[in-house]
Amino acid sequence: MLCEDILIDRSRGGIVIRLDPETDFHTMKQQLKAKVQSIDGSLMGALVEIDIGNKLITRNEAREMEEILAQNGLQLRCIASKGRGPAPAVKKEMEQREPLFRLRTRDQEFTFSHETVLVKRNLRSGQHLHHPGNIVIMGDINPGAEVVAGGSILVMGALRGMAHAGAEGDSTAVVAALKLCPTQLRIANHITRSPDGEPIAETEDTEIAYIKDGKVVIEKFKI
Amino acid sequence: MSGKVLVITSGKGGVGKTTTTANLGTALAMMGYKVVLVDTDIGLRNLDVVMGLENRIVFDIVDVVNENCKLKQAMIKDKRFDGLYLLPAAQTKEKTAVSPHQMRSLSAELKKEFDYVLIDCPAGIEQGFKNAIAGADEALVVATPEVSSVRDADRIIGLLEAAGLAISRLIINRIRPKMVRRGDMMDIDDIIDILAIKLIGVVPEDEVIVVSTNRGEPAVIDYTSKAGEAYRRIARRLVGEEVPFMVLDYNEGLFDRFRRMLKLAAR
Amino acid sequence: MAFLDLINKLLGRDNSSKQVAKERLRLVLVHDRANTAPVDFLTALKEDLIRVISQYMEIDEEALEVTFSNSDNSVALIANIPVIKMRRAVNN
Repeated sequence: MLCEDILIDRSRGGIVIRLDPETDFHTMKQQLKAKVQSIDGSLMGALVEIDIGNKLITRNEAREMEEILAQNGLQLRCIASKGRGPAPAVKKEMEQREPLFRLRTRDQEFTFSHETVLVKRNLRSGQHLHHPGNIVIMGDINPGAEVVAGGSILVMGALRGMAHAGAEGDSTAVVAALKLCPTQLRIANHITRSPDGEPIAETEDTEIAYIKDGKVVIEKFKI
Repeated sequence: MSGKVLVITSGKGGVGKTTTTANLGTALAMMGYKVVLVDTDIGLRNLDVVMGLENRIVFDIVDVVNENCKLKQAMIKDKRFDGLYLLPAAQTKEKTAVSPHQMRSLSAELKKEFDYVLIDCPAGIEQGFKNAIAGADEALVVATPEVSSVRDADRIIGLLEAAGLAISRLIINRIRPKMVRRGDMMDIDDIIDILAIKLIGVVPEDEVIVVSTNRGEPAVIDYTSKAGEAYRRIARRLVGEEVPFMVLDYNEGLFDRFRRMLKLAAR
Repeated sequence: MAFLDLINKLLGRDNSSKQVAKERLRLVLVHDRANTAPVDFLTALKEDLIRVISQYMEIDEEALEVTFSNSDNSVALIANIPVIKMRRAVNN
């Protein structure tokens, strides 16, 4: 069940969470945690606007809030404060920071920017995760589950379901997994599947799929 | 061309609706008919894995009724037989994503293209069931020789009658001749007697079904499989041929023979 | 007891689980079909009963009760019909 103070903003495709500005930051954090945990899995990856009325918070506090969201598979769009809050500055800084991490193949390097959600759970059949930026999943994607990202996808586990990177047409997006054996793999408008007949021998290697010369290729990679 | 829409249903789960749909569809395609299998079990799709086509799915039945794609784009061509197609269910949606009205127009659309439209119905009697039977001309009710399955089949037959489906025929699945002979399983006559419905086929329990499901290949393509043989016969009856029922008899063991003699003597 | 069971089994006497299954199904389906009938089955039956019985005697229509009753291996239809008075025999 959603709490009353959580609004789903369909027009902008996100969620607005209102917090009580009359309390101290610690209580606010507790509120945010409770509210975020009441959000069901179907909204995972959604962009969240936190409305804190006229409360002022510090940059570090804003980061703490972002962290709470990230732990629950949500992404911070902005913190709206009627006071002269640091929210815009936080947002700007987010964009300017160094890439989160890099994936290296033999001759290429792919970076994950801060437009990334971190999801700490397994995705089971029937569950789906959609996010306009990058997605990093600390867990497995089981057959029948779907992950769709506007950017790239990294699975710190086994990818056995369907993954679609660059869903809005970004053909530089990649799909990487510790164990890459998807039912189907899509990058931008390319769709690939494992060949019929014998199942592919499972390797111990971490693999990455990306588009090279108009074809989806798979290579080993290192983080 | 106007084909026939058959819904495969049972009420109870796990009695073999999906296996039956996959095998009958494949058997009909082997006979040269144009067939489409429609999975209406939205949220719990399985027909795709039984057919071995799970990695080809791009669009599904919900995309079709919502007009996110054309019907042709969502239909997956079978990898073994020409003229056999699968319209998969959506996995990440709910049963309410499709309405009976939409199913009726979808069935009507498919009937124009195909000789047989086989609809795999979800277990239960809720929305999914109502969707599945909405556009059907005939029903095939699958039951196993167990009390729970026969009871649910009876309920389903009542609902089919109430919905005005003219023809319902029964498939008895997973019968074990040895247990029937021992008197520990209801036989065909018992079930027909209770359900008062026309029988179209009896499928014996067969380990090949498990193996073929593992591989994603329907058992009808395996000519050594007893269940496969039973399904091929049902397919021929569906198209109107007169086919004798399979003789379901295992070699009698010494003990069986001894018991039968005693039984005869006691009469 | 086990020995008796074995003898019974050998002689093919019908305490087989198949017979039990059939018997139980028969009973459960009586209830299922009555409960899921499109029109209220018991109400319709009640009305018919009143119509027929009223030709012979005056009954308390309000207090008339028709129910199913289970005993061990059978289902009985129980009608409790309070009679107010008998009609005089009518000679045509």
